[in-house]
Amino acid sequence: MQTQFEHFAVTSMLGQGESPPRLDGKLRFGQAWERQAFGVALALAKTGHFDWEDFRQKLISAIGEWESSHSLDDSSWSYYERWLTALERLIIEERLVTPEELAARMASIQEPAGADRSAGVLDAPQSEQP
Amino acid sequence: MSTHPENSAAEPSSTDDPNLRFSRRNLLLASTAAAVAPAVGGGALVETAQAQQVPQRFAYPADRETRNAARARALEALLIEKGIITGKTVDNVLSFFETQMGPFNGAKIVARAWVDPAFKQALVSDTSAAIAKLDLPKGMAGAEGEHMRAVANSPEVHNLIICTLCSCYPWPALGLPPYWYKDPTFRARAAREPRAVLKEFGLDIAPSVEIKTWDSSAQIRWFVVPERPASTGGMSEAELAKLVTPEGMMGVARV
Repeated sequence: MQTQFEHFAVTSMLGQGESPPRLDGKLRFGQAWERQAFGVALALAKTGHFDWEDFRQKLISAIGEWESSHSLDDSSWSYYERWLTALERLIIEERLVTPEELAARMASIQEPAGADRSAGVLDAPQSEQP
Repeated sequence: MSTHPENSAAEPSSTDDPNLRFSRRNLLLASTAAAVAPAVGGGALVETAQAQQVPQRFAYPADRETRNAARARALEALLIEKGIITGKTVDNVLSFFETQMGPFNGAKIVARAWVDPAFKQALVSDTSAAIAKLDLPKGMAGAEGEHMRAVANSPEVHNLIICTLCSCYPWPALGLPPYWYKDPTFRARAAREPRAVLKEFGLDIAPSVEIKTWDSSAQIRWFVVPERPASTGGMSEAELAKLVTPEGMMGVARV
């Protein structure tokens, strides 16, 4: 039998709070970066750099943190922003990249005008933990 | 059971606390997702105003989309540069969802059945063999695809697919199931009182029409061939395929 990892990964989340948004049964990406973040997480798990379940648990935590500090109808909710946060934390934890590497790359991508936000480049991976 | 992807997974290790916490979000998921989409592009000013009313720690910069885009780019660029993944792996993962599996496959099958009565007959009697003759992605024959069975609506019979066990679903043809399909209340009520449930979906089935429910399992994944809409006589097969919805192929909507 064939089980496509991609399908397994997404169906394993069905009915759970961390399940990706869909439209007409298809995954829905509102922005290109959402699609990119989704693809990178699945590619890493598929190639064995972390277990999918570990990513799911990171995502559950990242969503839980948001939920415990916002009302559930807060329109600033962004599923894929939580996804990005979970992914950043996991690749750092798995030592695939260092926080410094990530911060340096962010700095080189962002405009120089973004310097005033430099303190918030990452979502403070450890210090925000409840 | 090995054919069931959800069962082949290791059991989630921490289903206690998070599930409790997420139960409310499950209910809100659809409306939240719908509300987020339009705000994503043009909501920067609104977000700034809201941000001033919440603690700084949770405030979003007005350019958060730009920032998130940079975060995603930084991630991917770094991982590729370090040789951890390749751009091709990421592309393959994404193209699987976007081009290989989804309701567009089912739509092609249904459109062919609408224009070709012999195909429709073959589809209902031996779904896998009939589908194999169509030009569909090769993954259709594997994974969950080999278990698909089609049932056709008619003026006398309306078909509804459900899965009382969990959420078995003919995903190569229909894409991933909507959130409510897995809802325990929907599963139980659709089996017990399909006519009432369909009415709540906005589908009023005449009392003279028999409703048949088909309970999917790891062995058989059902999908519905809806009736061809009236006034579509002049349409091409490709145009017809665009009319077919996942809901139509689940039997919770007309096409």
